[in-house]
Amino acid sequence: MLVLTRKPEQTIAIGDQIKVRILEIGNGFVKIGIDAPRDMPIYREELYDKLKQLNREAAKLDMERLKDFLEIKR
Amino acid sequence: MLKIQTTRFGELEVEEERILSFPLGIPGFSSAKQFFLIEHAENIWWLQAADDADLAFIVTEPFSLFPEYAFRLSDDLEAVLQIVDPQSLVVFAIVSADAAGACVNLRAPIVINSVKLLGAQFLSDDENLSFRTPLPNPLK
Repeated sequence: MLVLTRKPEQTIAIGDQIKVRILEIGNGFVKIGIDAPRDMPIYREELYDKLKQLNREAAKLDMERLKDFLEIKR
Repeated sequence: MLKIQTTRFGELEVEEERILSFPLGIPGFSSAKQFFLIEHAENIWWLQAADDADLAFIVTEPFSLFPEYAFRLSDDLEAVLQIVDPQSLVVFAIVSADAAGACVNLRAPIVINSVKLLGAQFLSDDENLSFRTPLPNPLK
């Protein structure tokens, strides 16, 4: 992993299209501003990981198992 | 008609205009980019990948089940989905199950632009929305 030291108001450029700016450093947190192409979603990693995990679980669900919990009307 | 191989349903013939492009894939399965819907029962659908025979999610239409449900789509997803007219949007939620029962993911709905045939899973910042909202039984 590349490690850089930045001060508030300083920016990191990732290629031509992404800029990460340190806005504020507080007591135990860092506020970051990100400029990226409009169609590039940006997530908090722990949330994104949670979603991936849940999707992997959901992809294993079969209809028979679901019927254990839910009355399904055809 | 396209012939699509699926693990659960065998070979299916699917009209091209039913194939939805998911440019970002679905988180956890980012290599699957094309999906189509198969109606299974009243408000229960399969969202089957066209380019991954094994991959299918059980989904439901959340607004009829949760009349209060609402989310604000982000600018980035609006761009991915090329949204012009909100009327063209269709929303589904992925069903999962754990020991406690069947749940639905309202925090990260599947949003489809039915005109452009584009889809994406939107991860909302709204902490009031749950990844595992219990489903009413029977489904309405």
